[in-house]
Amino acid sequence: MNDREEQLAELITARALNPDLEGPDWVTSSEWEKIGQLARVVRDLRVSAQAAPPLAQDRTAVMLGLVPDPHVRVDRAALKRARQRAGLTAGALTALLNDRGWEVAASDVLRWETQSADDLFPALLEAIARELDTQVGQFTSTVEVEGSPQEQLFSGAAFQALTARLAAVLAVPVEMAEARLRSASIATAYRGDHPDQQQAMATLEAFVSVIEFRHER
Amino acid sequence: MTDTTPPDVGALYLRYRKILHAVAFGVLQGAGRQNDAEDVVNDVMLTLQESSPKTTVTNWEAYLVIAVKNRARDVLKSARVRHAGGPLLEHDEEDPARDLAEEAAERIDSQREGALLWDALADLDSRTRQIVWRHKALGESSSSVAKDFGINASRVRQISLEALDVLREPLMKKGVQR
Repeated sequence: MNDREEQLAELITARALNPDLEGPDWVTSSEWEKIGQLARVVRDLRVSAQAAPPLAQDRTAVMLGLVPDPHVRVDRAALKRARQRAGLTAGALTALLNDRGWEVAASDVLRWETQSADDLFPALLEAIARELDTQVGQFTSTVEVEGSPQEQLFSGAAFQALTARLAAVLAVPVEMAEARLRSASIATAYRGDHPDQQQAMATLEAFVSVIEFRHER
Repeated sequence: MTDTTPPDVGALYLRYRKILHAVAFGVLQGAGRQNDAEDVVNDVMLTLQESSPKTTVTNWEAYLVIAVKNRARDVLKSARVRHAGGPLLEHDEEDPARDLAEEAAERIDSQREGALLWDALADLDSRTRQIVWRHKALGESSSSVAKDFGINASRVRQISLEALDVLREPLMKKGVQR
């Protein structure tokens, strides 16, 4: 692009941000009209780019296990031992996860093992476990918060039954299904809803039923 | 991701969720159905989780964008049929008159500005779409985008400009006044 083309391109962005912008003297009226049309396309793209909900409130992200469960703690030393038992370097594990589509770097793997793994979410924990040929429970533990309404919900027989159903329909270990249901419950709270236990169970029941229904179709 | 290893569905969604929601939103907004966008995306991703595509997918970004676009159009089509009071026909050849009405209505709907833009976006080649999406929609710097595509920043700006021109064309043909 020559200098003039670069300047015209900058005007498109400027006009996209400020539709009332007046055209500079060095731009012809037909160029300015075209810039206006292109600027509107940019504005439409930008507006639509905001359409996705925040990850923690994204129903699809919750269903796919992409929202961290604050009740799950990663045992960093156990994770490292599991990786070493599998005979993998941090780089090798990274490459395997990249092959599965996850955008992680070797520095992430090392950070999970030595500093912080709070950003790990159920789906990625499952992928790591599969590549290490182990179970998620071998390097995670569940943090109980005694007495909280959510913990009372999670420890109940109805919740455990839903967990078993979800595990069966998704063909995943029970612990993974439990993590997803916990995330779904937490996502509801993030949206500002604070249902009582009965309402919360009804929501989770509906969540599992939808997945079962789709599986049967 | 290699061609032979199917990626994890969650990984795909993390990578492309913004553009998928944008496509659904854009197609449905023209008919005032943007509140259905999240359901459309959810439907596509859960379908993918339940069963892999029948053919090998070499470009998942393109596959998902088109899947969401088509599913959003299905929502518009079924809403139009329900509004008309008729059942959802399995085979349109049973009622040629309804075929023509359906086709005309679909053309009218597809002429709505929002759907035109997203049709055009879905029709771009995947590389161009990703570049214009990241640079113009998400506001990433041209140098940042350039790194991932092995080109220089000026080329990113040029590709983006050419893509915007392509995206503008359907709006001009339909006489959409801005």
